[in-house]
Amino acid sequence: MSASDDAGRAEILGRLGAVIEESASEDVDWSGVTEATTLDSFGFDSLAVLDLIFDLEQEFGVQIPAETMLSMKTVGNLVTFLAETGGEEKGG
Amino acid sequence: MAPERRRVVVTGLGVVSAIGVDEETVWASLLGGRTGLGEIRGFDVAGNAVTIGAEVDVGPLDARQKGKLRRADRTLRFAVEATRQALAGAGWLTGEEEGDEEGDEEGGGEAPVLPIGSIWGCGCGPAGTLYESHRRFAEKGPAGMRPSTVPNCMANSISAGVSIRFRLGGTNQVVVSACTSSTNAVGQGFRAIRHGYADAVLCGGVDAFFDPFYYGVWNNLGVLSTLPDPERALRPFDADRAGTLLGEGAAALLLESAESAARRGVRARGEVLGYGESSDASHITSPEIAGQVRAIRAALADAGIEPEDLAYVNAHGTATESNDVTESRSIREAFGAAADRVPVGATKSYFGHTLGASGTLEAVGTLLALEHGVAPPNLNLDRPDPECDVRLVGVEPLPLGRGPAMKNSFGFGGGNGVLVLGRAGD
Repeated sequence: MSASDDAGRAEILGRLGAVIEESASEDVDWSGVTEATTLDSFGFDSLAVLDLIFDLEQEFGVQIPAETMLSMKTVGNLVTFLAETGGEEKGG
Repeated sequence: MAPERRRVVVTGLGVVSAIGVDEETVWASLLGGRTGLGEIRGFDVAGNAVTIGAEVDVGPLDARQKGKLRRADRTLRFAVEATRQALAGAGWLTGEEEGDEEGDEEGGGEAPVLPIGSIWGCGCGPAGTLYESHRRFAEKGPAGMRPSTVPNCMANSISAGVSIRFRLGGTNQVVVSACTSSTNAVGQGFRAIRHGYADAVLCGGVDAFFDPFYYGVWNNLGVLSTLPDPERALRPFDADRAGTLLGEGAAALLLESAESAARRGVRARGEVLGYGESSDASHITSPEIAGQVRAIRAALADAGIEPEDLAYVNAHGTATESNDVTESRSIREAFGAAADRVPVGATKSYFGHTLGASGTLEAVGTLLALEHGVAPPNLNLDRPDPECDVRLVGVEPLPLGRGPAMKNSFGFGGGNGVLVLGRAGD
């Protein structure tokens, strides 16, 4: 993995933190989160997951099928998905 | 065959208000003549002619409520706390269940479903969430609307949220009838138990609408008092009254059949003896004597009592010109000569006008007054309006005689609800 890939993942991780802190229905302390942190640990219920998908699609300009979201276990899985499918700055 | 008529007792009380978030503090405030009205601090009131309201100190809720509930709409937070108090007081909760239920909306599956209904009165719905959602829509259009907007903006998100958190498996609904909402909710729960459709119903009232939109539109309606001193601005039945002032809060009464309470070995805190309701069927905001009298007479007949049997009336008492004179005339017409004797008090000068919560908040105050045998003072009644020709409680606490009390609620829309409440054991 190149230095620029690492920088790209770090940038996505930062933006992801802002989204999750905003959309989580519980208070999230993002400072201790790494790519190994499980998504379950944020306590999203089925409705909050829909909000999270909506917020991620808005922020990253991607489409995330619900089954894809549910198949991802860790923050790293989500970062990889966003790095591969989009991750561009939100337009407008 | 006459319909079955079971006795309906109150086994639990819950209260979230500007004068306290537990019944002991609320009673001390009522007896001590301490108002909850002050300058509003929860949002920027700039641009409003009136800037006074009765705000709840959410410190005690912040200490108790965790996770999702902490970030939920203020109405739901208030309703959940009032419910917790009422269920705990009625012996339905153990401490262990409380911790699980308060933070979690989907995790209640472990606890057993309780045979209790959840009927809430609310005038405005989840006002803070509605305001925020509309604001986001105005800024971003449909792209601003998250999927949870739909369930979070439902008026019945309140009864549903309470039902899910505490696993209340009976009826689950919200009654919307402005300032009469939660008196109607108590009436519905009362009837369901009395006639055998339920053994226990949590009847609540809540409104929390101190946001720039809702507060602003009330301000522009022209019914708020423009007197500057929060301690003196809300003056029910006083000749110098200048209008009402708004408050936020919640209250809950756990109603239960007397048989159920006896079977569980819990103490009754009071009793619901009768309920009457009507509609003015005349004007959306102007109250009418004939409609109010119909509701008062229906409640008395339902309780099987005469006006002279009453020890106390807790009035709707908003301190608007229109309400206080109309309500006094309605009491006079329905009571006849008994209006010279039965003391009439109003407690909106403590709680503020809490709209949909006012019926249950003031019913809790009325039950506490019956329990203690004392009516709270009528704050600011320095110069009783001669147009209000009833016997008014004065500015000192008034010892009450024996007998039940009446609680009036007369709302915008013309809906009237009247409860007759009794002391436990009478």
